[in-house]
Amino acid sequence: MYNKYEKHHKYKKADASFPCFILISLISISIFSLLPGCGKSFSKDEKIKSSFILVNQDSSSVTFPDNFSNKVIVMGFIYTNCPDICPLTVHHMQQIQEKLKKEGRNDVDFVALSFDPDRDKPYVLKKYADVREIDLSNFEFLTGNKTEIDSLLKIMNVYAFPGDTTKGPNGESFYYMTHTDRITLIDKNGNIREDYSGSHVDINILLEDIKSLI
Amino acid sequence: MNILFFFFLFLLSTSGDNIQVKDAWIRPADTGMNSALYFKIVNESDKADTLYKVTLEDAGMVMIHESYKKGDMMAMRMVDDIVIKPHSTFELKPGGFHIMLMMLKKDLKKDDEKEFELYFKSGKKIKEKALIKDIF
Repeated sequence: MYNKYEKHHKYKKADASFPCFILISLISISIFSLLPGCGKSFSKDEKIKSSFILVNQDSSSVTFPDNFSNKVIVMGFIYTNCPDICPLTVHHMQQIQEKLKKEGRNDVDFVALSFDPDRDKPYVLKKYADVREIDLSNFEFLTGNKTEIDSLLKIMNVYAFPGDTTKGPNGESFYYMTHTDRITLIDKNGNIREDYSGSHVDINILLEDIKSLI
Repeated sequence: MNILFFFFLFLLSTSGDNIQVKDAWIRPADTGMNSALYFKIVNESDKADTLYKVTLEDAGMVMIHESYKKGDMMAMRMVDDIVIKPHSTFELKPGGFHIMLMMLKKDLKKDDEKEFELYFKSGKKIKEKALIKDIF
């Protein structure tokens, strides 16, 4: 038997527990969403198990992905003789870099890997970056030994091969590449998480995905 | 009667003048490399016309190109010409048709302007300037 007070007390207790439950739920959701990668499901979670010795635009040796540990990597695949598609990829990466800089986010690195190492020597990459006024503080253009690059491309599921050829006025021949149009997002632990079209990516979606991994 | 005849001749001679080139821009690039020129061609006349050649002094070679999708891959090919139908606009834009500027003799730096010339099968020539920029 409950007296009036007990009944009232019981009712009051039940009333107090409901906001408590809401509060605990909200705190849990907040903590959960702050964890890297939580709150967003990515299509991939593939560890880059090998290391690749490459060179950047300054001819400095870069071990990929080891040199980028504890950083989210936004990786584009390009060749500098590409006049139309690859500049879109680089421009999208540049736009994202600028937006993150404005927000004070420093734990993201940008990597543009050339799949045409025979022509894309470090000095070519350096000039390519300079003429586009790319901020190289957290943006690296990588090239290197063809065998090493081919192995890395295979892991990244990126394909590139010489396509149409044109003859120049003095009989010299130029080739264009047929290639995967790609930007890949890699998390801080070196896991490939998502692939995007380099030339047609929605940079707002990519930005949100990057932020969920920071 | 003579006046009407000359008026008719005048109309014929000006019918091909209704082609305009708008919003021309070029991607930045450095000496020896390639770039792309983009613009819109507005044909307000009653006749189709065909763009078959483009020249730009600082390019060693200039070609009309098209980027296209091949499965999941992107590729590029040369095209002979571009037909602009009557009362239509043809846009050369990133990821599609573009003017390929090869073997650049000078750096194409942001905010500079470059003059180029378009040649049409009607005999019309149009000189225009393109702004060098990254934004599209």
